[in-house]
Amino acid sequence: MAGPHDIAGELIEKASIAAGIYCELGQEETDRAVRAVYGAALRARVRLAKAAHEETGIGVWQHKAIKNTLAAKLVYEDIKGERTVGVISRDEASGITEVAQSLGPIVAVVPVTNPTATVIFKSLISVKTQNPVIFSPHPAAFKCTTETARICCEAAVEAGAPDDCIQWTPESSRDLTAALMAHPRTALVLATGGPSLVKAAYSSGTPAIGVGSGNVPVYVERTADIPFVAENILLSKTFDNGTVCASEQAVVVEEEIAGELREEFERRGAFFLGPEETEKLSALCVDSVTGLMNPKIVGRPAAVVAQAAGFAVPDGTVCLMARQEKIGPEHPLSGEILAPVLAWYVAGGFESALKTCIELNYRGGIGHTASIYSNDERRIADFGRLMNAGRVVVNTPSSQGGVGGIYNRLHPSLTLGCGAGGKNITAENITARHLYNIKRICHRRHNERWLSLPVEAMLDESCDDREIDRIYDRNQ
Amino acid sequence: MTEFIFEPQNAVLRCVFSGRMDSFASMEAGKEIAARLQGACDQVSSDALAVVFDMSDVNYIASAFVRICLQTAKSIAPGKFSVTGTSPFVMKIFVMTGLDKQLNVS
Repeated sequence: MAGPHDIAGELIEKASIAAGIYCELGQEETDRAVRAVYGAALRARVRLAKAAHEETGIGVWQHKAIKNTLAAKLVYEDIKGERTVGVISRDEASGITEVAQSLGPIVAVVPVTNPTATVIFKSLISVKTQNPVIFSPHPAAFKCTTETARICCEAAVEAGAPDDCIQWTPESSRDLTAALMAHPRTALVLATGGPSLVKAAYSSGTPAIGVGSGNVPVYVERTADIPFVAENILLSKTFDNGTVCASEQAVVVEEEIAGELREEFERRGAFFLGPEETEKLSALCVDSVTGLMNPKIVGRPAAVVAQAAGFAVPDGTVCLMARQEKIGPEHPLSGEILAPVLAWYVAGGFESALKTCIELNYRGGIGHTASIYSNDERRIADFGRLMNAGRVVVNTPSSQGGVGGIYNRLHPSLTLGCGAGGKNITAENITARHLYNIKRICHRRHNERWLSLPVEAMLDESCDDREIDRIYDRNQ
Repeated sequence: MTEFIFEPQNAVLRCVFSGRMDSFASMEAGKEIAARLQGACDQVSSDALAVVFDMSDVNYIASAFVRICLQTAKSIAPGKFSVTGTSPFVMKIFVMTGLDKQLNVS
């Protein structure tokens, strides 16, 4: 029976051949394949969403269908016109011709929270950049992940892309994924998942693009439109039952408006827990020994989470709100919970609120996303400067806002970089542009100012910086 | 200019800073703090003495100031040092360095 290294070797060999054949395709043929993948994925969006929900038990199938639509439609619209093959720009003045250079085989890890949408997204950007991709599914989402990959692959190949441009592992296996990531001919690992996976990707020896945990603080400043705030936060937090990494994790509200905001939340189905309920929820959501989120509550509806915690909530409850005073591992609800659960902090004023947001940001969400509701530009600017986040979304539902393309002009993406703070190589929303290198063909163009600087002056120690500047800037 | 308020009955030395605690101001304050600590320890037990750095009126700190915080914290009993009244910008510096919990920064 073939071991993980043999299987990895076979997959990479096929991918390498596909990479070679891709080079024969021009932009038009490539875009034809992209269009085909987009069309096939869009047609299958509902079926795949239902399959994902049925297999994983996570989220809401209707919201997964929306995610699939976003991953297909918005991503396609964002990348369709981009030049990604061959010469992408030519500048006569500088003499530089830029040529896109595909990377080679990509190993793409798929999370259980967004299996089908992630495959659609990564298939589109991989085909667009002529990179063969090998998907590594999460074991709890194996069938829907591989079915999505199959649909995308068939469409791409039928439209002229090379065989094996999209592949998937025959089983979910840590060893196989590790072997793929570390294979010498793997060009890139695209790791969307938890911290241990991302660390493994960066440690594999292959260039990697990873993500980070989100512990998104949403600061509700006193000039915010309160009903609008409650509406948008709940829209975001209940989307797919809180499984989007960019969703809000903690509301930090100024004391002056806290009562009014609470009423608006309650009017819309948010349930504010008492101390005993909060304690029960804390014990359920996070393992007290490992500090890890309980996978059994991920993407479950609020009522199911409450029942599992051992308390009842009114019918129609969509989100559980837990009052918190402090932040840290001893206060589990101050961290990321991928379910309809929000921590609720009441701050004395602007400065106190900012300090709470800084702590939340740095403890468990550094580099990811931060959110503010305000109509005061100075406050928004101060908040934006202080947060360590790749995305600071303003007056926007954070899930949809972080993903991009709906409420703002960020590149739509299902892989959100968290920058150095999150131990990632970039803080951007990952898109096609991250999947190719640019080769620059440089024709001779003199730097006259440099050439006017005599070597004797460079070697003459008595020639100080002002003299060098004088010569360098002469006759400009 | 740093104001020092010593409460022997509570064994608390409160240091109230203002304005820009740049390198020079921090070094000058550091010398003063060392002298005041010595004086305070002549009146109360060194184990009991608590030191509070009040930053309510400070809008900028240099690295030297962070070092003084660390030195002062080390020179008294554990858990007896705190930094209060920080602005969000000053707070962020302590959070970024991971010293906010160790130095009881608020």
